[in-house]
Amino acid sequence: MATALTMSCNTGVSDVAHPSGEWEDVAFLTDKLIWTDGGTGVEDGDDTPSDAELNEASPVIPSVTPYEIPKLFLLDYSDTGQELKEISLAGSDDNRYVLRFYFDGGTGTEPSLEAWDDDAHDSNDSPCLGAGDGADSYIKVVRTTDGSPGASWTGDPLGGSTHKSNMNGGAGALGSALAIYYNIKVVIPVGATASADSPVLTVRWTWL
Amino acid sequence: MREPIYRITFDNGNKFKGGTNYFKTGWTTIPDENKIKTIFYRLPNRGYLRLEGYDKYFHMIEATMNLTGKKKGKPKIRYVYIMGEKDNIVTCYKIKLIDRPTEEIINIQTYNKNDEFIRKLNPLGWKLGGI
Repeated sequence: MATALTMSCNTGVSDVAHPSGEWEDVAFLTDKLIWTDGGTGVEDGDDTPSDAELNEASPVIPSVTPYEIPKLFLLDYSDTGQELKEISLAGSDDNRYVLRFYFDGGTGTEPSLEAWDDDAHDSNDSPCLGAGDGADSYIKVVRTTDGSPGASWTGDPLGGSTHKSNMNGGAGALGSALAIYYNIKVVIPVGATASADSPVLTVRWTWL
Repeated sequence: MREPIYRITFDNGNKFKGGTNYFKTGWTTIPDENKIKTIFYRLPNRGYLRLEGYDKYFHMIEATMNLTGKKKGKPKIRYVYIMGEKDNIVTCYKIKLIDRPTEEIINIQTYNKNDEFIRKLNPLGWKLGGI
């Protein structure tokens, strides 16, 4: 039987493991993740923001020091009228239980968390994914299944075939069902190329 | 009725049919006490890949799930991996299930059984082979 994957986001303020606290399951078909500076119409509890509101709330390219985009939202389409749910624990702080990936059985190989330009999964040319060099990706992740990441964690860049995250910490295939936790952030480097990117975050896994 | 994705003949003459889709492959239900003599694996082009003569066999399905961006939502089956090990060499047949014209339908790669990729496979996926 195929091993199924579910993803949940901690939309509460308490850094506690699922199911304690406030966790929202991600409906892969409809929900979205939005990184933003926030602003009018783009705050926790708001309804789906318009393109104009998102543009107004977009971060500015830094000129002095790298800039971490301060807010991550889950756009929960099922919660009509209040779709935006802030994932306030995401970011550089020492928070452990932010994103949860649950595999309901064993796998053939180790699952990986990846980032690509699109569904073809063969390029990471967009600026936010490092413009071809995954080491320069703005998206940073840290696996927190085994412990908190530490204050001001650096994390690993996600971008293309060379920069993926081994979701079992390099230990190989999952022998049985497992919940895997991550923290995530987006850091814009100084002098970044202006762009409107919609990268594809992907989980790749296998089953017997 | 849909064709099974693979058919096995054991060295004792018994036969086994795999599942009819890649979400229910039936691989883990292959009786461990029987040794695999031949596997006929169904290919996307309606042909079959035949494997035999290996000491043990491994099978898995690779899928992806997009969490953001377009075309997200459903797991997308990408490849089948069917492998045979003999004399410390693992021959991996990677069968393409996605629409990627630049790739061959079957990509064959060999590994030493001590290579990291092989060592980190789920041991439950190996089934004994027999002549």
